Amino acid sequence: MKNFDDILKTKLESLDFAYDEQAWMALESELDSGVPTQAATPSGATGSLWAGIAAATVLTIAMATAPTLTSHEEQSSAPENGATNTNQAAFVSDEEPDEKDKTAISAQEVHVIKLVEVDAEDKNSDDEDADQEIAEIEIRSDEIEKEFIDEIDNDFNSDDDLTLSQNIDNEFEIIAKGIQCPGSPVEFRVEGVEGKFVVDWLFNDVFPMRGESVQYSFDEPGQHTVVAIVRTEGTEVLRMERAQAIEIFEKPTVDLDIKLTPHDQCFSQTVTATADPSSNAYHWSVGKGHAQQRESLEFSAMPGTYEINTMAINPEGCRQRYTSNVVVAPSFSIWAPNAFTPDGNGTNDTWLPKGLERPGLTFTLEIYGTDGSLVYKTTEPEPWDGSIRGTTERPRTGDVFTWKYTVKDACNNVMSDGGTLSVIR
Amino acid sequence: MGIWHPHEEMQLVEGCKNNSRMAQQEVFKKLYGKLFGMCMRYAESDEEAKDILQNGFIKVFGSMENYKGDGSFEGWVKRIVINTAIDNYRRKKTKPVVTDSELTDRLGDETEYEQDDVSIYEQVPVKLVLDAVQQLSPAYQTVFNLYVLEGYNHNEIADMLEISVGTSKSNLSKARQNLRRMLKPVIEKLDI
Repeated sequence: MKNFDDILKTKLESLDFAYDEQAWMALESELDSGVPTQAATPSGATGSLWAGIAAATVLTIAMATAPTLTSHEEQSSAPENGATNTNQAAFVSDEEPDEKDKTAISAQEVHVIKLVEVDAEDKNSDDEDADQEIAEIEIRSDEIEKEFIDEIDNDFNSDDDLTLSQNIDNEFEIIAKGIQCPGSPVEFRVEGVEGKFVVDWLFNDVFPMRGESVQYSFDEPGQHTVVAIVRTEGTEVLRMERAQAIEIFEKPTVDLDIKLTPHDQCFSQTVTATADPSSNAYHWSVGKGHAQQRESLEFSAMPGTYEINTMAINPEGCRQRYTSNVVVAPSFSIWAPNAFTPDGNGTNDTWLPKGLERPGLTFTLEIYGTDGSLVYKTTEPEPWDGSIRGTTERPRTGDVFTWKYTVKDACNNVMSDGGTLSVIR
Repeated sequence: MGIWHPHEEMQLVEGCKNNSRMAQQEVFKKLYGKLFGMCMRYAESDEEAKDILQNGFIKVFGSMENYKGDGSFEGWVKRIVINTAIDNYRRKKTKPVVTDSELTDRLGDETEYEQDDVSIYEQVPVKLVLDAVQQLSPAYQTVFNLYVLEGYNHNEIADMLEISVGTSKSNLSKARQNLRRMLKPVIEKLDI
């Protein structure tokens, strides 16, 4: 006797829906989009390449406890003094900056936050990392009290009509989220401010935006400054400001090499595309198919024009797309004379398209008379001596035959051709 | 019970590995009916089922190199689609779920149902069974599908959904009760 589960199971397992072409078209267009989108990125092993790259995209931000905007502007106009009073944190890599002098950084004033790297392994194994395109690192400033007091003092001295609390314990933080690449939006927001507040943002000193969270994309690689000015409202009005430097990485540079290798026994050629350096990850697609996530692309191509798209992603997660057009000629051709003289004089007595004899080819060749009847058929590279249906009947001068062949090469490519053949004297 | 001849299957798999649209479409076409039915069981709506199926196939075609040929291709595809449905459930889970306290209160009523002659449920059209499954809360629905239809045990389900074994058991029990509760009036209407 069946139980409740079994009954439902049997019923539900019988569910079968009619094929929906629209569903395929929707899927196909997703597949054609080539570049994994957030939804399209496969989780698990396949996504791991992308996840790994994204995980390696460490938002490295150097933080400086900020003097006020006013002093910052003064600073810009007087770069010579930078060494003593800069708020531009100019180095962000893990390496020791060897251009310390040039960038005029004072170690006492700039705190480079050693960022916790997102554990790449961990991230790869996480099926749910649909957000893998985004590497998020939260940067918290390591506040030094004295400097903070300096900042308040500076603020206090500014022209703004502000009431400042002497007991500020809600130091705020700038949180950045995004990919540090030219043209990629990075989201900035502040955290740690209580109550109602407004934030004004300055990017590279020139682009004012207002909002608790803003998006900004930097067009050029290199150092960029971000300044957040927070004004709280309420019983105590407070103005706080912080400057940070963010590094925007270079887009990948790629050395592409596309090679064509003809095949002895196939019409097709092998197209091999490689890209350097190997520190980048590459995603290849040919026309609308052949997407491969490998360092190189290899496919067998019949004669034609192919568009090879290469997406390169460097370890910083920056992308660059390249398109190359490749014209593939046949590895070899088959050529058929259009006349012969089957008169037994020793020249041009027989006929066979040149190239059919090539090893690796299998073909069927048929020759028809003017009345449309088959007069000769072969699957071996035996030249036709003009005999009609294997009899002693010979063609006459002026007769025109039609021929066609279908040939399959060693790579299973099939080609056919046809034409006419005249008997001349 | 392969749906393709072994030779044909090998060609399709090879084609899919080479990202051949024709091979992919053939696979999609052949598996669509059953797998869409499966997705419907995990979804609340047609739209959601379509999304699950589409995302599932994107994963399938994007991870062809992981299919090593051990086990049927159809089974492999099905597992990926189930995983996609579970991912989908996890995303939904972050939305607040309102507990139907009335349903929860009826947890003790199981014995009452157990005494039913369950054969009456055989009469319910499959469409209505599906409707009922789709109306289950996502947590009940997912556990019900994994346990009853896919044949996983509570330990496995607990792992997959990151819940406790106890929760898995109680969700299943509540799913059954709710299904009965929903199907009862249907049966009465059918006048069986």
